[in-house]
Order: sequence, then structure tokens, then C-alpha cells
Amino acid sequence: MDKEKLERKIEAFAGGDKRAFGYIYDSTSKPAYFAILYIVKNKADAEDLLHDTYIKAINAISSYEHGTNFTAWLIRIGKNLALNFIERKKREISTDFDAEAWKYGTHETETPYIFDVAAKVLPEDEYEIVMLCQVTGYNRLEVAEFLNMAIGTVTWKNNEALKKLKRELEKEGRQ
Amino acid sequence: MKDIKKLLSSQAKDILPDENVKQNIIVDLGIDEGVKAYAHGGTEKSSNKKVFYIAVAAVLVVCITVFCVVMNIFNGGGTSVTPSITTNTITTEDFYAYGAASAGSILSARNSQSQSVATAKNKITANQLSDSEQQAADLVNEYIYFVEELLGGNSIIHSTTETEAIEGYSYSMAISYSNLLGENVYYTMYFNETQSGSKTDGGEVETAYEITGILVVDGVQYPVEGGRSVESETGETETELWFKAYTDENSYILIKQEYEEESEDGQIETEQSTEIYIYTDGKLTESVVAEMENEDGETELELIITKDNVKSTIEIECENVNDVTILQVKATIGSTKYSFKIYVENGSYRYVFNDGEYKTDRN
Repeated sequence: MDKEKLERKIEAFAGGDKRAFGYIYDSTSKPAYFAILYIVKNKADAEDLLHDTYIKAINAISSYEHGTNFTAWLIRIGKNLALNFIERKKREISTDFDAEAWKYGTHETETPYIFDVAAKVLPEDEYEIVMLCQVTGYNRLEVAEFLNMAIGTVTWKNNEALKKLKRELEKEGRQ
Repeated sequence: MKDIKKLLSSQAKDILPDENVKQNIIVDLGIDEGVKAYAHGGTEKSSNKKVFYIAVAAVLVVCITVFCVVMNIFNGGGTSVTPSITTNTITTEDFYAYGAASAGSILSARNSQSQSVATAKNKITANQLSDSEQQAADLVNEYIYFVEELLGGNSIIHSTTETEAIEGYSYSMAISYSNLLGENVYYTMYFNETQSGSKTDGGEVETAYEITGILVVDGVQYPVEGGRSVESETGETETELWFKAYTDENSYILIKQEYEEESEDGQIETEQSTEIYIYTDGKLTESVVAEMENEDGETELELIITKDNVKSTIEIECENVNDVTILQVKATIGSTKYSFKIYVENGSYRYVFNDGEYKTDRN
């Protein structure tokens, strides 16, 4: 990710150049998506909320302080929307089936087992780091920038997350 | 630990957000068609200005030559031509041929260290340039065929027949093109295609297909898989393709292509974008993003090359003077900037730096 270019594109977008959206989305969507997914634990819901996150962020683009960290700003918006979504959902009828849909493998909620395990056993920061480093292919420097962390912290947490996943899968006899 | 990493990366496609999310945001934001194309890496047209945005991983020169001169060498039914990025008519099979040719050229180059690359580099080395200039020239030379392709517009020949040549695969596709060194390049892909889904939403019909098979490159068989979805409604068709060729379980070349065709007032407008990525052990290792703009007969092209986390940029302005194509190049490698010209002449590229020049033959 080219942080300076991203800032230029955001500035251009805010100035009316709608063409800049493609770059902004491609550069920032995955960190926001995984932050949301960790909270809602459902791919379809996370995609819907990612959509809402961008709509909200773009409508409020003038409130973004240039030169800070757009991705972190976007993640905050996404997390707030996800938490509101969970609150709304709590008011609906809850069933064990919904809570552990991954076990039953419904088509709508089915995600590979490893990701459900990751969401279950990892703390939020380790989950986001391992998803960005291992799933999306970002390097650790990029992840450190996304999440406002030192690269050493990212490295440490990434390794911790991988160890936890390995232990969990071994415990369940899948490794 | 390595197994966990492999498990995560191999299942990434099942967890990452769908591309439709982006598309829906674009629609909901009311970004118009021209801007959509920009966002997706397609073609934007406004007055006499035409902008292309494509993303490719062009590791080696041979990767680039998939777009070369048309060579109609295959006989038999179904022979057709895959247009390059600058032409319009594309069929369904063109997508697979394009994917197979792109992947095949990269695989071939990786295995054989591409004769064309070696030839070009040896010739450069023989000239008297400073180390710094040599580095810039090498970088540009690695992508020069790609640049010329973007500025030109050549094609791939392919033909598909039903076959029983390899058990388990119903179709055989022969693919060929001629690279800029004049060499004919051939690949064969054996595959099955299945319709994996179809849905109708109002006037919109979306159909998805998948292929599995093997791609034969220089006698070596590589597992391949791919898919395409065709979304159509009145006057508009959008086709998306992805194509993967595996070198091992977690190392592969991924090619994505989008093609949109829209009919309005009797005029057909098309947009096309291509992305090629190379993953090694599940991690993206190489990519190039290219942005090209044509305006008033002059072309500006920017390549942003990322390899091993090192980013380089090449900006090229192209003009034609007295039937000679001249490329004005500005390259940035790390923090060092270079500026020079390349004269595209018969059979050679002539690089002219401020304090000297050298020539690299194409043949």
C-alpha cells in the first residue's frame, strides 16, 4: 500500500474526482472487512456492513483529517456499524443454530472451518493481523500501517495467532 | 506452523469479500459508467480522451509477448483470435485462451529463463553504461515488450475441439502466438467446463461456469482451474474470468479479467481490464499496475512494479515522429530517478541516455 498515494486519492475524491474510489476501496477494504467480520462472524453480514461502511465513510469524507490514517478511520466506522448490528440482532430471537451455524454448514453462513476457529480463539488484534498477513497477503509493514502498530508487534502477534490456531486444530484432531 | 499458513491462504477466496460489494458501492454512490471503469481497471472514454487501467504482473518479458502478432497456424474448427487490450471483440473462449497464454508464458519463462530475456540482457551488458544507467535500462527492458504491446495491439490464436487425447478431459484448446523475437509459441490446454450456477433477477441473467484441467507448457503439465460469470441484461453484458495455473499446492499464477460490452444508440462500447498476480507459498510476490492514457495521438503509460516489496515506477510518453516511435522514459528505482529515450526501430530498441546510447536487438 502506498500511503501517500492513498492520501492523494482521498483528497482527489473529496475534491470531486469520483474516479479515485476504486483505488481507495482496493487499498482499504480488506482491513475494514476483517475488523467487521470478527465482530459479526458471518461473511454475508460482513459484506453488507462493509458496503454500509463505505457509504457512511464517503458521505462523511469531509470529516476525515487528511494525513492521519484513513484505514484506521474506516475500521472505526466499520466496527461501530458492526456493533450496532450485533445489538440489533440481540433483540431478535436467538437460536443455537444461528450462534454456531458453522457447525451445521448452512449454505448462507458456511465459511471454511479454519476461519471460524480463528474468530473463536483469537483476540481481535491477533485475528485481524493473521487475516491480513496470511489471507490477504499484505506484508507486515503494511499491516502495521493499517493498524497503527509497530512492525515488531505485528510480527509477534502474527506468530502468536498462528501458534494458537495450530494448538486449537491439534486439540480438535484436525492437524 | 507452515501448514496453518497454507490452510489460511489456500482458503482465502472463500472468506474474502465478493467483488460485488465494490460494484454495489459504486452503484449506490452514483458513480457513472466512466468512473466505474476507472474503479475496476477498465476503459474510460470522454470526448477524444481514452484511459486504460490494467493491472498485471509482468515478471518476465515472455509474459508480455502473449499479446503479440497474429499467427494463424492452427487449422480446424473453432479457430479464433483473442484481441489484446486495445481491441474490442471478445468471445468466451478468448478469455480462457488469454488466461492460458498469459500463464503459459510466465511458466515457460520461469522454467527456461527465457531466451529472449537472456538475449536482450546480454546485449545490454555489452554496452558501456554506468551501473546506475544499466539498472534503469534493465528494468525498462524487462517490460519493453509489454509496453510495446500496450501501444500496439496484437493477438493470440486459439482453437477448441472435443477430444479424448487425455482421459477425463472433454476439450482441447490449442493456443499460439508469435513473440517479438519472431518465435512461434504453442500451448495446449485440456479441460472440462461445467455450468456452476445460473440465476435470473428481473431482466438480468447471471450464469457462472467453471473449468478444471491441465495446461501443457514446454512438455510440462500444470493443473489449472478457472471460472467465468456472465451477467447480461438488455443491451449490456459483463463477463468476468479468473484463471489459476498451479506450480505447487500454494504457488500459482492468478489472472483476472473483466470485459463489459454495452450497446447504446446503435453504438457498442467495450471495457476490458486484466490483472495477473503471482503467488509463491500463498503470498503475493510480484505484480505490476499499469495505467495508460491516450490523448491527441500521444500516449502516456505508467507502470508501478512491485517485486519482493521493492517498488519501481516507469513513466513513458510515446510519440511518433517521422514514422519512428519514440518513448520518453522516466524511471524511479527506490529513490533514484532516471530519464532517457527509447527509439523503436526496425528489429531493435535504441536507448539514448544523456551521455550515451546503446542498442538491443529484437531478433
